[in-house]
Formats: sequence, C-alpha cells, structure tokens
Amino acid sequence: MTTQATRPIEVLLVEDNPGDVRLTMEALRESKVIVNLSVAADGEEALAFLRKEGPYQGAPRPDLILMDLNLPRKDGREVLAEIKVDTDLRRIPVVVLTTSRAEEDILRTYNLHANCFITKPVDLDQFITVVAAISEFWFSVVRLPT
Amino acid sequence: MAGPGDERRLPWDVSGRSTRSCSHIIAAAIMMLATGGPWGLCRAQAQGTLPVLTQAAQIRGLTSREAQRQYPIRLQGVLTYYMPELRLTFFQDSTAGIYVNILGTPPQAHTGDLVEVRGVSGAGFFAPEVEHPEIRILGKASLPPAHHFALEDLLSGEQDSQFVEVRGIVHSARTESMLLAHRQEGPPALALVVASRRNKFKAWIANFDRTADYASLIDARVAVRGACGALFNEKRQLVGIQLFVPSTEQVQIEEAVHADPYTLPILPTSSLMQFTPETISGHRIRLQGNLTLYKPGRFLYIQDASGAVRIVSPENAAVRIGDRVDAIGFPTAGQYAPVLEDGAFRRLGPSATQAAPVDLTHATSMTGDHDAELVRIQGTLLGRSVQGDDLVLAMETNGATFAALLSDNGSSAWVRSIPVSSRLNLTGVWSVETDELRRPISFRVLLRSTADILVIELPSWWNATRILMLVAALAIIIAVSMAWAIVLRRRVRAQTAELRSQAAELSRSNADLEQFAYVASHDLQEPLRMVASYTQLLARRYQGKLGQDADEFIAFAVDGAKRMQNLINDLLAYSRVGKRGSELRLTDAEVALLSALANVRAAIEDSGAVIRHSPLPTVYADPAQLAQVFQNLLGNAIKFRNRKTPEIGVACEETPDEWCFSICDNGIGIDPKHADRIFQVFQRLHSRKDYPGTGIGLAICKKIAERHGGRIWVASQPGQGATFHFTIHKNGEHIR
Repeated sequence: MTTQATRPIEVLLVEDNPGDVRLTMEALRESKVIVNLSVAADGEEALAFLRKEGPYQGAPRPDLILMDLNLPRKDGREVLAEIKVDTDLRRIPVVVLTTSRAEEDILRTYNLHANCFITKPVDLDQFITVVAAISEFWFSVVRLPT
Repeated sequence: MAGPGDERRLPWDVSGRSTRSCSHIIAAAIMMLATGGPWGLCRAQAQGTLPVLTQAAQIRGLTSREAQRQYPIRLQGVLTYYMPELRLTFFQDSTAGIYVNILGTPPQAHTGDLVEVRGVSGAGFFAPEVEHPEIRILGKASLPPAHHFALEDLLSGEQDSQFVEVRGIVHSARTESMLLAHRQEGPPALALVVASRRNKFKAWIANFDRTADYASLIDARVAVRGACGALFNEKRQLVGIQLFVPSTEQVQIEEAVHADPYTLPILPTSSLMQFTPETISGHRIRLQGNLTLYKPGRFLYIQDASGAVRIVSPENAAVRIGDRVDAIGFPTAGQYAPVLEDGAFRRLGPSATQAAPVDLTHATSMTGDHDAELVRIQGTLLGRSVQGDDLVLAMETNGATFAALLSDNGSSAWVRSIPVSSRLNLTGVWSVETDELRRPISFRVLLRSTADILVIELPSWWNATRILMLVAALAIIIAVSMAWAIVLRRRVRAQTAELRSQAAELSRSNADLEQFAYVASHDLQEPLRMVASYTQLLARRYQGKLGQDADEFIAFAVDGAKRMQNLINDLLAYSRVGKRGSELRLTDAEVALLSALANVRAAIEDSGAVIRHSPLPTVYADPAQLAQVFQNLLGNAIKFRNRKTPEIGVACEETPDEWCFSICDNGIGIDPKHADRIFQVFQRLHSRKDYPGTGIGLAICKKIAERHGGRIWVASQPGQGATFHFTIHKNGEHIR
C-alpha cells in the first residue's frame, strides 16, 4: 500500500465507446487513487500497446488492464487469450468490464484466465462505486508483481 | 244306310258282297289302265295338249310330279263326304275315291250328291287331288259300296280318300270339336276311337244325334264306313289315318256290349297283358285299387296288392289320393309296364288301408321293377326346370339321375327356393321310360304335392361359386386396402413433410424473433446506458447549480432512462426463456422456492408478508426458470397487497400427467375479465405510481410454464385475493 504509492499507477483501458471511456475516467477521478490511464480503442491497438509495437514503443507497461469484451477488429476474448499465453504479459491482471451479464460470457472469460469479470452497472452511482472498488482492491489491497 | 229310290242308276249297286267284289275287280282293271296312261299322255303333251282325265283312278295313278302338270279333269260320281268349311270334300266314282281341294266359295252341295267335277290335277298334300274344281250337282245318289280293309292295311296310306269299311272295338265315344289347321274350334262331331289289335283310329261323324248317349258304343265291336283321310305331317309323310263317316248309319254294331262295365269281374292289376281270356280279347277290363296319383283330365295311378297301373283317362272326377277307385279301360302295352287306356273310373270311398311306399333309398341301382308304384327315394338336387305345367327337379342318387315332377300350381314357390345340392327325400309314383328294346333308360318320380318333398340336408354353404366369389371379394378388398394404404401413406408423407416444413419455418421464425428481441434489447442497452449514465452524472455534478427547472428536466430524463432500462432488461429476460434456458432436469421445487424467497427477501421484510408452503415435489424442470416463476408470482403477491398483512400460501397437487402448483394470496385480487390479459407482454392493470412494474413478469411465467408442457391461469375476484396456478408436465419430453 505504501510502496506502490510512490509512482502513478499505469492502467490500460481497452474500450471502443468514447462515452464509456469518459465515464470510466470520471469514475476514476472520483476515486482517491491517482491513475495514469492509457486508452486503446480496439483489440489490435491494445496488443500493440502492450507489446510496445509501432507508435507505442515508449508505452508504459500497465499495472492493470480494464477491458470490454465487444471490441472492433479483435474482440476482448481474443486479446485476453493472447495476453494469457504471453509469458511476459500474462502476469498483468485483466479486469473484464462489460455490459454482458450472460453466464456463458462469464464462464468463457474465466476459462481464458481473466482475473475478474464485472458487469457494468447501469446506474451511474453503482458504476462509480464499482470503479472505486476496483481501484481500491487492485491498487491498495492486492500486491502486484513489480 | 241305303239311298232313296229316286237316285240315278250307277255302276254299283246299293249293297251286297258280290257287287262289292265285282267293282273291286273293275277298279283294279282301271287302275292298271291308269298306270299305263302316263306313257300315252307324254306323247299327247308333246303335241301341246294334255288328255282329259275322266276317271279318279287315272288321277290317283299319277306321280306327284305328273300330277303337278295340271291334267284337265272331268269326273262324274258321288260326294262321299262334303264339309267345305273344313275343306273336307271326298268324291268317288266307279273307279276310285279322290280328294277335291275347294279353295274358293264352295257350291251348295251335300254328302250323297251325284256331281260332275271339272278341274285340273294337283300333287296334293299327300296324294294327287283335284284342284280348281267346278262342281255341278246332277242329283242324289246312294253311297258307293265300301271295300273292307283291315286297319293295318289302311295305315299304309294306299287307300287315302277311298270310301272304305274297317272293323274294330270302340274305345271311346265323345263329342269333340273337329279341329283343322288355322282354326281354334270346329263344328262338333261324334268322335269314335276304334281299335283293332294294337292300332287305333278316329272316326268323325258330323251327322249325329246330339241327344243320344253314344257311351253305349264303347267296347262294342263295330264296322265303320267312311272316306279314309290320311294324317300326314309337313313332309307329306303319313302318320296315321282318320275316317270321315257321313252319318251314324255307317256304323254297324257287330257285337253288343256288357250293359254296365262296372259289373265286369275285378282283375288284379298284375294281370294286365297277361295271357288271360279277359285281357287278350281287346275288350274292356275292370280294376280296383287305391288312388296314388291323379292328374285330372290326363291320367291316374291306382295300386292294389298285386301291383300298380297307370290309367289314361280324360275324365275329371272328385277323387282324392288315398281313395279306393273302381276303374275300367282297355289294356295296352305301355312304355315298360302295361297301361289302361281310354279309361273311366269312379270313387268307391276312402280306402281302409294305405299302400306304403316302396323304399328305394338303399337300392344300389334303379330298375323298372316298381314302375307305377308308390316309392320313396333319396337323392341330391342337381337343378330345376319347368316342363309344360310341371316343375322338374333333376335328382341324383348313387351316380344315377332321375327326375321328380310336380304340378306347378303356385304352391311350389317353396320348392323353387330349395338350394341346389340339398339332399331330399321324395315320395311319389315311379315312372319308367324304356328304349326300343324295352330296357329302362330313364326314371321319374311323379310327386303329388309339395308334401312329398322332405329336405333332409341342406348343402354346405361353401360351394365352388361362393368360394370363388369370396376369393374374388377378398382379392378386391386386399387390392382396395393396398391402394388405400398407398394413398394414405402418400398423403401422410406429404402432410408430414408439410408439417415438418411448417414446424421448421415456425421454429426459424421463432428463433429469428427471439434473436431479434435479444439483439435489439442488448444493443439498445449500450446507448441507453450512456443516456442514463450521463444524465445521472449531470445530476450528480450540477444538482442545484443550474436552477430548479434544469434539476426537474434532468430528473425526468434520469427516470425515463431508468424505466427504459427496466423494460429492456425484462424484455431480454422474456426472450431468454426459450433461447437461453438450460436443459430440463430433476429439480427440487422446494430449492427453487427458497431461491425465489431469497430474491424477494427485501420485499417480504418491507411488507411483513407471511409465506407458508406445503411440501413440494421434485419435478422435471429448468431450476432457474422454476425459481423465476416462483419469484415473479411471490413478487406479485406481495406487490398487489391491500392494507392487510400479506398471507401467501404455496402448494402443489399431483394429477396423472402434471404437477399443479398454486400460489394464493389475500391481496387486491383481479377482475376475472382480465384473467387472460394479464399474461400478455406489457399488459398492466394499474398505474405505475400505485404498482410499479413493466408488465412482463406474468408473460415470462406463462412462457416458462409452456416450455415445461404446462399452463398458467388465475382464479380470483377483486378484493378477494388471487390464486395463480401453473402446471409442469411430468414427462420431460415436452420441452420447447
């Protein structure tokens, strides 16, 4: 808790909907944690960012990935599968944040070694609470690999 | 018999044997001359003229072909028989007799007239005759002398048209109508049947005393004189003779008769044609016996201890079978056994003893032994036919056939209905027919009445025809059935294919609809979430900073977005019932109920509702959906409460096929007229303000119940609480 506070926390948000991006940013802003948020609008972009390819050569290694499932070009499941077979990237926790509450999506996502599955609450207050809980949990409670 | 005195003198004298023999010689001489005649005539014809024939014997001497050449004729003599209305004109001159064929209007002449006949010769029907005659009456003359002939000689036909005398015994003397061809009736005449040895002829006497009783002539030996007429057939062949007798004077009784025939000695029937003085005399005999068969006007059979006999009699008498009968008649040789012909009989009274029929049932072969006797015989019916007035049954026994004859007098309808191949026991008179060597060739049973027929065994219903018909009928039925089966199979196949395609169509259409609802509600959620989130964010950040109006507008926008989210979520849940449901499995309904209770715990606590339930079974269901139904119904039961504390009961009853769950409450109840409407999507009965909700909960319950092969319905009255029932089929195959 104390050690990690020394540098800003790097978070990659994989989300194609700018409304959701902004909402997530607003929700994070309301939490106490200071976050350095990077955004990838689709799956390919997210993987390029993580692998520091192309324009992302100087991209920081994120401490946490917040990812939607339904993405253009390469959807969240594929991105998740690729991350979790990558010996380097698979240590990064992936929080699936989606509108889906379908049982099959939940099951499939965990089978792909997602670290947790969260359905976006439709109510803003709840959403803010959830985002606060995420940051509280992952950035304060959990001890992540350095 | 002799003519009156004013007659002209003729070449013959009135009577006397010497004259008769003398004229016989003369006639013979003329015949010889006539026989040679045609040779001379040929020459005359060559010169273009035919000689005039002046003697009857000349005409008789012509051959049939010569006679057709129409020799001119001029004859003088006596009309021996003149009855032109029946075309009977016989003429005789000193040489011979001849038939005169009068076609036109006959002259006013009489038998015994002396006439001159002019005409031409013709072949005639049997012997040469005079054709196209002109008859001139010259006066009266005595009848010519009749030459005596034995009946056997007359039957040769040689003496056709001649005036002859013949002797014999009178068998019958009756008044009859003289019948000729093309006529139904002729003038009445006394008809004498005269027999000589085995032959008979009929003598017609037109001139007779109608008041006299000629029956006394019967059995008398007489000499009869008259014109001899040939009986011939269409082929001009002689079949017999008859005698045309001018008057009763030409009948001379030579031997008188027994005064009363019924005083004759009674002979046994077996004595017929045996060598006894009575039977060989040719005279009438007398028999007595029991009547065994009687055909009125035709014949009768009588039987005595010695045997039986057939009696031919034209008489009609009131006698009945079994009567004792006194019969008289002339014995003659019959077909097999002798017969009494020209018979007469009288009833003596009922017989004391009845002749028992001879049983031929066990006879191995049929013989003529029992001819004319009453017999009993069994046989198989081969067929039926009608012969004149008789119904004939063709019968078979021991490989031999015989016929049974029954008078077809209308009472035989029953006989006609006896099926062929029936076994019959017949009682009747045995009648035997023989061939020319008098060997029996056919047998008949003459039945008295239908009572003589006893059916002892009906034929088996199965005969060749019936079997064939049955086989044919079966074949037709099988063919029709097969054809029908093929038609049905095709129809079923076609309908099944149609149903399958319809089901597939329906299922695809359903799936499309569910997919549409799912996709629509899912994709609608994203933008809606944006609207809701940002209006909420607006409210959160700028509440009280933009003025009161802005705060209200934001509040409405937030509320609308939330409501729409609820609607979409419910619609999504509804569309998921069929699409996203898990497979049916054995599910403890109590567990499902507890799960539902947990989900509505907040509402229970808020309302203080009391929920009781009886033990619930384990059913075949989708556990999540079963819980969903409980949850929706419990939720409604709590939501639609009145001021009372909600009391809710959950129970289940078992029927043979289904589990029937019920959830009853003490709430506001439902008007029965809305009982169906409430199960439709988005149907609400109350304002959102009073009872919030999207109106989809019961539609989801209905869909879930139907997916489980069940139904859902409500029993309620307003203010009386409501009881919702839903069923789940016991057999899991009813899944949708």
